[in-house]
Amino acid sequence: MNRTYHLKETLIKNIEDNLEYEDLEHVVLNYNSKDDLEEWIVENLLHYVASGRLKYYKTLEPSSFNMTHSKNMVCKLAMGDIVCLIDADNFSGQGYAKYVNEHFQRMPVSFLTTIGIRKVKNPIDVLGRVCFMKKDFIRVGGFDEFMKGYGFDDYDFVNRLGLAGLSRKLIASQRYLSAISHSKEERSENMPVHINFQSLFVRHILPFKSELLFLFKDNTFSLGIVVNNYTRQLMRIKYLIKRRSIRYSDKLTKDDWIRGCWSDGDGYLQLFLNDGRLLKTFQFSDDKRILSTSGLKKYFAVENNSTLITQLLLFHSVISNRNRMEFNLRQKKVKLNDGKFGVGTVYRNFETSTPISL
Amino acid sequence: MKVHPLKNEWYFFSIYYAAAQWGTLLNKGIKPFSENYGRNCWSRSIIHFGSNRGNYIGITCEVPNAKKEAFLNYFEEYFSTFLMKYPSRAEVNQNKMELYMDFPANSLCHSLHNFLPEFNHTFEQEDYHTVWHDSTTAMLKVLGPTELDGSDLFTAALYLNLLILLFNPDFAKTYLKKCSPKFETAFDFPAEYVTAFRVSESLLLEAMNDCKNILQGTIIDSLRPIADWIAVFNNFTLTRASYIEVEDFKEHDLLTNVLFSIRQQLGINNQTLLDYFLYRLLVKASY
Repeated sequence: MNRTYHLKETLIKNIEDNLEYEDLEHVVLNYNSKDDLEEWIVENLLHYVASGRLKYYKTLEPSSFNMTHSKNMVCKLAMGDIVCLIDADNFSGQGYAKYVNEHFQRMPVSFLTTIGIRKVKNPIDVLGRVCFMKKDFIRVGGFDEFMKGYGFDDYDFVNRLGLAGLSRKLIASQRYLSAISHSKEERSENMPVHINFQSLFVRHILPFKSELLFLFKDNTFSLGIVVNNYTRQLMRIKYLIKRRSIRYSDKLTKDDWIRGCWSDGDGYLQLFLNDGRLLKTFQFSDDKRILSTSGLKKYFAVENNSTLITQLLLFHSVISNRNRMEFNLRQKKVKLNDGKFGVGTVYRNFETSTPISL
Repeated sequence: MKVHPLKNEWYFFSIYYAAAQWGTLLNKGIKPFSENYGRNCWSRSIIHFGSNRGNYIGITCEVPNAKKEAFLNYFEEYFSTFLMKYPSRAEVNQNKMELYMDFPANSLCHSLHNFLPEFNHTFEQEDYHTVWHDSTTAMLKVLGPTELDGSDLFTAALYLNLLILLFNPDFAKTYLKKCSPKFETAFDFPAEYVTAFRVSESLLLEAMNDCKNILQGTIIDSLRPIADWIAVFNNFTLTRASYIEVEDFKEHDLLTNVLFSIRQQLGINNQTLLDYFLYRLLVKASY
């Protein structure tokens, strides 16, 4: 969504680098972008659209970007036996389709990925790259649409393909793994949490533990306690004797954020769970920068620190997805979404008179 | 090639303690530990002061792997007991707008502040580490048995920096050239630094005089500890002067490293103020 500036650098090159492979389609889904994607395609790629090499679809429903839903939609729209997901900022490299075909001829019961089992060696810009048989995508129910935010959806998907009995093969050659570098902030700026963010309060508990309260413009909130595993280890001398490896530096103490709705009045703020129960009441300080509970716990507004806010909003997205991925792995989940994934209405090419229901 | 386990390893500890009571931690905690136990256990140790995520004194020590477990267990036991027996007063968390709070006074942590100055050159890094061990020994004699405050550490940094510069006139000239644009022509230079210099001028000139006496060998008893301290660095840099013939060795880079590592060891936050005082003193002395 709203990444046409990346697609302008990559799409034509990707099409041209794979022209020699005949039975190939490039499927682009316009996920209700507000930039000039459609105009650009009309101006520059009509000949590919006419020949069927490029299939352009759009959906007008989403108000913000949903990574897993958009991936599921575009995979359902792909008609081939093999689907290769390529992010808008990625270059496929010359002969990528041929390379992928040759792999699946040798190993049909497998998938190609940039994510290793134990250690991720590839840069973050290419971690979304994955190739699989369309039938296997359907078999595992696509990407987990419980994951709304940024990150770990790709890890979870390849985990479940592996649990479904498919062999994981790493895309080894760097010639197929080039991408446009960009910041984490750029990755997540279209996410609902960024668009919807209103304010953030922090309560310090320990040097490695703090409670975060996110308030969003739609009157929802997220509340959770974050722990930094590295700092926690720093306070224990015994870890110098026997070092413990740490997988993730920051974690939530629970599986997910506590979520619900907030309302405020004259000098107070209340949090309600989704079932309507009152969770907490706070008093605002006069300048509205401090929230206090009756137990004298104080939450300070994070202001004038856009870097920290952006990092924490990203964390807000990532942690939910990460915990969900871990949960799916622990439960050995293979098929998800209960058969309903990538659901929505799309339109082919540049008209909106013929809806296609997915 | 075969892997050989290291014989010794460096460990880094931070003891969070109110800055106004650092003297207590040094004299009742760290010095006795060092004299009664540390010396028999570690090969070298370096002490530094800091204020990252709270005020703390850092201990860097090199311990043989054979003694590692016993040392670490005793270190934790000793300082945990010390902090219970001589707790410092709490300090206000300065970090309200950050994700995590400062470490509270009376807490202990490891590997957060890895103070171990290094200088990349062909001479052994080990020799340079020994310099900082010797600097620590000398520093503890200078700082004395009383409570410290920030001005004591600032004064010590001033004396040492001044002595390094006076001892190395060519380096002093390079240093002045680098400082000049900041202090002579910058429009946004803080006026309070000028005021601070004026207010402290007599003491600063006294410091300059003391340093000149030290260099000339006229050392009164009260200046002996500082003279011994600077000798640690001067002896090291002098013996390395012969490396000037080696192409990649830059004496001024070494002196700059020493200058700034001294400031780091003493936990000097306001380096610009220190530079300004040094600059004005050297200009006055016609360097």
